[in-house]
Amino acid sequence: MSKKSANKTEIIPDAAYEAFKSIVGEQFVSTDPVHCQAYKARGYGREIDEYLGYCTRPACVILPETTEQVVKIIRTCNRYELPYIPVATMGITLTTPHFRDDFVVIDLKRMNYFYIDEKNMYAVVGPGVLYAQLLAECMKRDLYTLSAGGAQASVLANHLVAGTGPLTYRVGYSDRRINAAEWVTPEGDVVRLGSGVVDDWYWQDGLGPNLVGLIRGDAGWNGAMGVVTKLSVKVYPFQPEDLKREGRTPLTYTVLPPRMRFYNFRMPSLKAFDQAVEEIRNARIGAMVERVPLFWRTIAKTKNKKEFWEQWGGVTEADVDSTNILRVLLIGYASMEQLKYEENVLFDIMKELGGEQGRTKQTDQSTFMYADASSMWRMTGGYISSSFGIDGLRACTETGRRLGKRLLEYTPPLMPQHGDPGWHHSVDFGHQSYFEFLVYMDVNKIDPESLNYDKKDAERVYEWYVSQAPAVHIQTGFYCPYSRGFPFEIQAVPWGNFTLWMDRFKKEFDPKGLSNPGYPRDGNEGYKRHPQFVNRELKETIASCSKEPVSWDPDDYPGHDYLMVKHNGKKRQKRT
Amino acid sequence: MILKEELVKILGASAVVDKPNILEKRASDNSLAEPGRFACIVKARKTEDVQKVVQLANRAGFPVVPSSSGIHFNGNAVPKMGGVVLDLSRMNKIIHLDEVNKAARIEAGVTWERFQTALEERGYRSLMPLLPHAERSVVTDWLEREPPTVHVTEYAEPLLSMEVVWGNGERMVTGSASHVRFGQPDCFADGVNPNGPGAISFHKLLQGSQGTLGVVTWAIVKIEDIPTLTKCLFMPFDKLENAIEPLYKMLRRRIGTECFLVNRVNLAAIVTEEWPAQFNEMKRAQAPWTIVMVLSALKRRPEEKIAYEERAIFDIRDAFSPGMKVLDTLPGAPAIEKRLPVMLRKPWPRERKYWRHAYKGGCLPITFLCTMEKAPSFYGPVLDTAGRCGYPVEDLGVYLQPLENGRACHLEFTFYYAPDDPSERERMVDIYGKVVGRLLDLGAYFNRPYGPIAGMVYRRNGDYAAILKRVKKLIDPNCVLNPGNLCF
Amino acid sequence: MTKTVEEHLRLDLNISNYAHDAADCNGQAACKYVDWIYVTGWDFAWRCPTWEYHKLDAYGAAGKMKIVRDLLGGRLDWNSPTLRDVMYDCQLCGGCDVGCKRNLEIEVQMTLEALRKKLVDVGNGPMPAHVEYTRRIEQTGNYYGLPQASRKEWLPRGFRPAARGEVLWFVGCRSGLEQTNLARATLRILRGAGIDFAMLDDERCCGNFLYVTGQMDRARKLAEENLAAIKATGAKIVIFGCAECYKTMKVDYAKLLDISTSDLPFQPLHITEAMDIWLKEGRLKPSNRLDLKVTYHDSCSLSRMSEPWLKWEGMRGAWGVLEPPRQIRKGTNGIYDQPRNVLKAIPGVTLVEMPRHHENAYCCCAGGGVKEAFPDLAEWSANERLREAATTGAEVLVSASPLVIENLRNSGALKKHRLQVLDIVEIMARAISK
Repeated sequence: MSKKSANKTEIIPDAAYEAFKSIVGEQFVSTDPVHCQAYKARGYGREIDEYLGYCTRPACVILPETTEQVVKIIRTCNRYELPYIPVATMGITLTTPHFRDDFVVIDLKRMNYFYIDEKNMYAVVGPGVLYAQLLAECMKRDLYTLSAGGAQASVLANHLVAGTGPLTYRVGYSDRRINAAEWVTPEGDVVRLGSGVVDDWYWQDGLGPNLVGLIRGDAGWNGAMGVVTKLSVKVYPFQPEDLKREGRTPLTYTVLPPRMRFYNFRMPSLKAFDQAVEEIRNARIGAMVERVPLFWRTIAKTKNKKEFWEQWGGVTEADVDSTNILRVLLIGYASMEQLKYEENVLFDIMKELGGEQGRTKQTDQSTFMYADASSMWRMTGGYISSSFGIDGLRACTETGRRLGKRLLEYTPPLMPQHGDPGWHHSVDFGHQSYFEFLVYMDVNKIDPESLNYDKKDAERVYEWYVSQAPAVHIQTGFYCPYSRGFPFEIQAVPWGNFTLWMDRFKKEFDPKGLSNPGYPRDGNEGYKRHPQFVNRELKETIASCSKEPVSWDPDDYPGHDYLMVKHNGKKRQKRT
Repeated sequence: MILKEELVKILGASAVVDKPNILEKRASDNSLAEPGRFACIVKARKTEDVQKVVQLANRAGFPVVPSSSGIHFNGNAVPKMGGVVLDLSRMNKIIHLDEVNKAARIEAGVTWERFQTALEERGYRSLMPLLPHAERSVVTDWLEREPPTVHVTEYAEPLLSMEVVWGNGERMVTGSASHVRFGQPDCFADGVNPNGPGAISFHKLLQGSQGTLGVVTWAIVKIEDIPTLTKCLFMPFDKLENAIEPLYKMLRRRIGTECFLVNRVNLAAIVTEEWPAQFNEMKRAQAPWTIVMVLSALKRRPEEKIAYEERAIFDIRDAFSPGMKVLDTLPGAPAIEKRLPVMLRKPWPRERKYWRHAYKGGCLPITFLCTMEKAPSFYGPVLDTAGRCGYPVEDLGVYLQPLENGRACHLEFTFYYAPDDPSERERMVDIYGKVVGRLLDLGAYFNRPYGPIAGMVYRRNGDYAAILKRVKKLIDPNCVLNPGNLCF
Repeated sequence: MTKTVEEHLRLDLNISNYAHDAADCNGQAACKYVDWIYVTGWDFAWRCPTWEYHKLDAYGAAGKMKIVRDLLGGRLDWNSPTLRDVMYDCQLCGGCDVGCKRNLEIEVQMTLEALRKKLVDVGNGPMPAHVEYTRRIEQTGNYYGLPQASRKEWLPRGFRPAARGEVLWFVGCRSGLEQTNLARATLRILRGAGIDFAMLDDERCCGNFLYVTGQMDRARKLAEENLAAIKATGAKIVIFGCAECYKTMKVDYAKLLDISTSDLPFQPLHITEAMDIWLKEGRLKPSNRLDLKVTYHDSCSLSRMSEPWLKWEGMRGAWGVLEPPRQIRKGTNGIYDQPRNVLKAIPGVTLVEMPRHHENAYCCCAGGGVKEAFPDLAEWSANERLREAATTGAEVLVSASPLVIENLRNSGALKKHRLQVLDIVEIMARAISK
């Protein structure tokens, strides 16, 4: 292993660096700017976070292998008052260093513990295990789960932060897919949650109150509540036949066995589409039920950017309105006869509602191994979900409808979507619905280092993300986890001022504010730097949710270093 | 401060009850908990009432014991340190039926009887624990983690958003119902996402908290369609361990809706219609263990569904358990296959003595979680310990409720006893401590630590208790809510 | 929306042409992990040996792209020793390039190659360990620093290869000077197939080592000399026994000389391609039964890196669309099937695949200058590949690259895994009648 023994920054005290070396060995810690640069975030969300200057290079990166090492690292950070943040795959920019230059990044990839209990259908994973690995192991055992966040996402991290995907139609949202956990608190205490207390990892309930509720809510803490070092996740009964892997890059896919089938139906109207979803879920059939936006189908059909733009350039609002593609996956869990039964029911419903079955390949690269997830960036280089969340069907469809229409005002610079109401799929047999509204932008226009960077275009994109989309959510009541760009306390106003409670828990468990300090107050800091993205409509919408006047003065809201104990109240001293 | 006067001031005289005979009745429940002493019962009609009481309690320092059900079994609603009982039974509105998302918003005082009756009129039903008492609060039973008899859903409890008054007197709505305009015509929020708001799942803190963290005033719960066709099957076994593998195999294929495993004692307690004459006979007629499996279908092609599920069961039998019998009735119980599915979808009828009390008047359920394969390893030691304590083990009921396609199970040892007999009560106290201690040693997971179990559990899990106490201090800094339970 | 200023771009070895590619990286990890479709379990899910070995993200392509972005932005020092170590601690196996291009249109490999060139240009490369090999190649004409006359020592007595011919056999330094058994085996195959071939009288190193270590100017000079020498033989087809020589001449020469592969004065054929053709034509008849269970290691240079090079120059416009359209090399058309066809044609040979195969094959880290400068990584990676091969139950690990064979055979872990490592020419040579 290469030696990286010298401390190359004054930001991390020598004593702390020596402590880190003694914990993990000198080959697994570095303050070299070249090594640290690789941990400056550029994943999903870079269009917002990196290009607005939020993402910073950490001062130090350290790679533990065991929970004991994590404990020692956190305690060292507490001793020397060093902000830290745990990362796994860094697939998104949320859980990454922001604003400050003194982060210690705790890269957890070496913690790739994996155990699967086939009989009781759970897997225990460390942060370094990906969905692709979990799914492959599951399928050897007639089990499955969903590659929420993409096959490349850390199973553990994704379960704590998001965890959605079309297969949640049957298996439910990620908070219910968590069993037990091992949690290192922000001050370095190890606690087992759920049945982990008896060293048996099959269930989430607590000894009395369920403390798994502390480590994730509708959104996650993104590393601001210590580090979860082990997580048990549910895996689900599948069918026993293999999904054959075929094809050569870039056209690789799995072939569905006879006991699984995809169906695409073109519904005559959006109303018929909604009715179909309702009937399917009422019949309690299917493994997946989703609406496929037209532009996704266009991406899937085209081989490269040029082809995409040639096709997409000719699409009109009428095309979008008339394209209501319902995609269904049936799985014969119990038997081939189950598949037949469900298919009969499905066809009955389609006959009643006028759904026309289209040609459907019985191959998959999007649902299970989720191999084509990053093709979302191919068309334009940039995309962001300006809305995503779970609530009832009404909120999803109404919000989508409004966003689709409002987006026309921001097109260009955003990519034309011709009023498309976004992507949504049914969750938990229709008890919930998931909605996501993706917007695409020419990344050259918003990248400040690009030849074609255009400030006006960029600001319009950011206004959509920071203000316009959230304004619509709040108007409809759509439950979208917090976003960047305006103060967190204000974001909480329409939702019962929940920041009060988050602050209490944060102060209790992380009194020095070292665990991803300021998160999610990155929105506060972002607002201080870019107040121009907040538009009047957002302000008026927020005002309508509050009996008291809402201040928009940035100084009224603590910034990124919220709770963070400064070193002697001053800037960090030079190393001695 | 004179407590009653203060309470009358804030809620009105009709809301405050302190008649001795009423207090005496409320002082104890169907558990082994010693009767508690308390000042009065305060009946809330709305959330503001609850808030006022809790806020007053914080100012004045008296305990508040929330109670939504008409009957209690576990001792957690018995006041242990004085104070007042906060009775939410008058808060019994079914506020809204959401047929789009299949959910219902109900107040804490809505009972199983009220709820299932109302749902049935609209063609719906709710998942239920095993034959709950008609007067039990639906919300409370789910907060207490009663296991549902339906295994095939991927959720073991149907709670979504809820409204809570925390121990510090603050009101909050959890989940997606937290929008300030929730429930108004221009707001499309349906409250069916239980998580958050923010990075904490407050509803999870409330589950299993036995009223020590907050008082839930209403909750949104999932509902389902009533099946149009049902077939009830029974699989008898001589030994518990022989029933486990078939359960794994069947549940893994997502077959059936209601499914559970009981021994002959509990099965007889459930199906006996004429007490006491029929009970022993019924017990003798049954196999030592029986899996009850209800196949259900909804409105579309119901016969096809039942048919493929039944065929799958026979395939499993032929491939893995050739000796397994699959019966469509039970000996000595005419038409039970028609009666039982109907029973399982309703609370126990009010006019009949509750099935858990019919045998001896009372029962002590010791319940915990484990994986199904471990269930037999607990059975022997429990029999052994109970036997040594002098318990007639032939009277011991056992109930295994698979959860979520069999990934875990709720295992219950039902100790029937005569509560009015002091020596039996004393013996039960002895059994309780010894059996639970033995089970803890064997790795049983008590996610519902009632009464003395709590102390035993938290002594072994100091880390968890330490975090709980910190959470308690944040939420209920003056420890007003139901002190003396869990580790508080 | 403002008008887009079109950017002029070339697909060449100038790092400034890859600013957009570095910016386009979205951290989706396809550079580090096997194509998700082909992940078969918890183990063997990784595609990047150097990242897997070091664990620090700087060693993976995504980390490197972030580093390039800051280098081009002036926020990192081109002369940093750590930068040099990180950038050279990579075998340039093309795994990241192919992985990323499954979904995106980012030229990862070219960015990394251009980066090495830049490091050499600023004086921060190559690695000190590379200097000696560079001297050998330039001064003696071969990687080993041996007298050129040594290249003929393995030739059978009395055998005089023709100096001119339509088919030229380019032997390569490894087979010609070190692993001469491979040269003898190849000769046997050529004769067995009845092929008339020429050989260069003074064959010089192909320059692969110079190219992969970023010494492009030196490599270009050698390329020009070699092409002239080959042209002088009149060869229309050049057969390569070495995967590195094959890929260097087929792909890297074209890059160096700013042409397409189709502009080369000859058609390059790897020996496995040639054998595949000869088997179909009936020229090659493997009749000896071998009874071997084998697994095949796709050498990076032969497989995903060997697609013909396509020169491109054009404009990037709105939404990043290129004009003219650029046909992107994604590793699809590398030499994968031909070696497998060859093995399957041999009686008694059973072929089983490793978990990572074809374009997902795990590099053994012999190339890219890694073996010379970072022998620990090369040893570790070789061991990993052997460990993977052992899981198939095969007796023999076959490859079609002398560099790979050398690295795997020299691995300290070979005995532990109870595998034999053979070049495909050795197997075929055994299979054909005398």
